[in-house]
Amino acid sequence: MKNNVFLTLISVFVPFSFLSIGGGSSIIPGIQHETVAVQGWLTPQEFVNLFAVARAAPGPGMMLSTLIGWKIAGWLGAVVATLALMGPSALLCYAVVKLTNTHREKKWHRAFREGLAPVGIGLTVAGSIMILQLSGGGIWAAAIAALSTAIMLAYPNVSVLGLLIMAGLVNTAAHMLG
Amino acid sequence: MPTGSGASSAYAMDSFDQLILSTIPTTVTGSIPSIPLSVMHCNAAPAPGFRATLPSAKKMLTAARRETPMDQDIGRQNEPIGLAGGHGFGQPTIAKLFFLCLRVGLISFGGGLTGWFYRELVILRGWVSEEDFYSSQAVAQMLPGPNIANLVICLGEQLCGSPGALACCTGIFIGPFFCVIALNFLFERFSGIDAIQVGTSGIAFAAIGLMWVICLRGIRRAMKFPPSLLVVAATAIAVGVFHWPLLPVVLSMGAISVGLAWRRISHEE
Repeated sequence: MKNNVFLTLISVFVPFSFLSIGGGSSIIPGIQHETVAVQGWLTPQEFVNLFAVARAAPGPGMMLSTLIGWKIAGWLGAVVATLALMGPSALLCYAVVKLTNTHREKKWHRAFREGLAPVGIGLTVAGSIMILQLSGGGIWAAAIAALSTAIMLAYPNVSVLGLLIMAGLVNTAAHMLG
Repeated sequence: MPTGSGASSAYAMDSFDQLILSTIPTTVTGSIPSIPLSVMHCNAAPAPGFRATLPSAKKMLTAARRETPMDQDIGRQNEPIGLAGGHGFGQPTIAKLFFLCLRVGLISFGGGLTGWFYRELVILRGWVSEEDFYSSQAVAQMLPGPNIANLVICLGEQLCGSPGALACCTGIFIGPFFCVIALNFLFERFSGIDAIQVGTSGIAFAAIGLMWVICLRGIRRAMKFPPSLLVVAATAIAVGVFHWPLLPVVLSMGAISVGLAWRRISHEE
């Protein structure tokens, strides 16, 4: 029976791996439907809790699959679910890079690199807007972000970890006072 | 920038280095079958000091080893613009990439991971040019999978080939894997402590600042070719404000932008 659990985990997560364009947030509703309604592995409340934990932890938000696997089948389940969600897309990306990198010196490759750079910058701007909205912090969040941007631009060698911890403490203090 | 001032003395040291090196290979390379991971350079063209850092040649070559950073300065002058510094970090190796990814994976709260890598690889170490970083980012976001995993696969491949991609990919996941399980354990024990949640969201706010540093530097760079500023703005608004689906936006904006770049390159030639 145990083998079946692992096979089901793989069959659930591998398709999502190829669908997760633009990062993890696009597949969260699909994963919720699959794990809560179809497989009945989790209650809706359990799913929301796991999602919150995955967002609070360091690393990509898609580590949600690790938690689901762990919840269902322990350590091995966690490994299987992580690999099933991260592996296929990683291999695809590797294949794309590998196939195009041998043509680095060609004119079309240079045009691609230079042409895709502004698109990448635009996507980063978009990503920061979306994270700002998701964080739910409003003006206050933007103010902390702007201040830390200014500090990092003014002092490029500042300790980022220290800066982040400071921001955490400032936010906690402001929350307690306000 | 310290690059210029170091260069002249680096050339002098370099010829000294070559002098020592010319006596080494016959005695060293034959006797040592493999190069240990920790000293293995993985750029396509290894620095002159490369083979000399084999273990048994240690004593003889401490001088050569000491000047490896200078060797890089020579190489770096041929690189595209935007390489700021990177003194004291040496050449990228598989082990360095792995531990860098492991460290960033472990301490990157709140989705600022791209910002971390920009800082570590482009600003501090100068291993990756700005342009390579931005274009890798576009590819990473266009393909399925966590953006950060795709990004480190792209950059790891460029820096150290397939083992580099594997090392980066493993490094970025292994820390969060254990963290997320540990955090879930703690969450089930102590759920509902407000201060912790407020603290982590503060960290997330500052991590947005990490992304803004990339944005500002990218926009400044795009200003050199004004049409690309329009591409930046259109992409950002379509995805970030209107929430249009990413794939069609990236494909259409990418096609326009690559077309513009093609025309510009043709014009230059």
